[in-house]
Amino acid sequence: MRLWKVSGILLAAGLFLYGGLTAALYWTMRQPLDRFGAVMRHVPGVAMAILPFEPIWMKVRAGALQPGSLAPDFDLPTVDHSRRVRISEEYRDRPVVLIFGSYT
Amino acid sequence: MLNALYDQYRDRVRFYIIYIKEAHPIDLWQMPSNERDKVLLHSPRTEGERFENAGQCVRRLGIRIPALIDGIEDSVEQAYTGWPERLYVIAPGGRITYKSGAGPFGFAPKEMEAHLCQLLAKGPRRASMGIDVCGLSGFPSLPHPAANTRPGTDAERPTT
Repeated sequence: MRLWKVSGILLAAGLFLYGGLTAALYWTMRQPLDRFGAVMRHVPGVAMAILPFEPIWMKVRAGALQPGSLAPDFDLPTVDHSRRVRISEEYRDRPVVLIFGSYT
Repeated sequence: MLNALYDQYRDRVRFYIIYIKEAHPIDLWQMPSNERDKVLLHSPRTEGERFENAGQCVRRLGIRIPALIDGIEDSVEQAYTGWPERLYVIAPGGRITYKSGAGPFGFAPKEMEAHLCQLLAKGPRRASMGIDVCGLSGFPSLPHPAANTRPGTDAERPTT
């Protein structure tokens, strides 16, 4: 009887801890990106394996644009500074593929 | 993979890399893989620093796709929720027809390619000519979806 009680308490404590850490992870992911990175540098890798990192990430980073949305226009310089590109001019007559990323 | 896509479709599709805020700068959330590969970059504080990082990326990875540099205020990244990496396909006229999941988990070049093939196949010129744009001889069969690749990951560096 006592074993069941202790087991129940430990399970409840474990679930409470898991839920709390998951909520903390969700909150962290919703912070400005620099703050998110500053927090995550201190999170051990094992935590990311145990907590539901991917599903929360995919939800938090879903964004407002969807297929069917009009692509927001922008005007940006090329890496070699040779010209500027306005995306609305680019997609007037051809499909455009955008690849967002960085070196790191 | 991305260079190969560019080479395959660049006569019909415009490709642009939008270089954005660093995913894993050394002053924030550094990755062991970056340390191994000696990709040790700080978060840029100025546009000039971002241009430098982007230039390094393009040169070292041999990227042929034209790269555009987002402003230091990250306005384009915010509009498209592009961080840390993401793919979009925009049809002629400006409607988004494909949006990948957020990277790294959702960054799927092969999935994007399949969608692009369908989009090109629907084009009026191709349809009237009866050409299967994705079935031309020499076009590699779409492989089973594999691990995500992005500039800077173990999977992507340096085989672009």
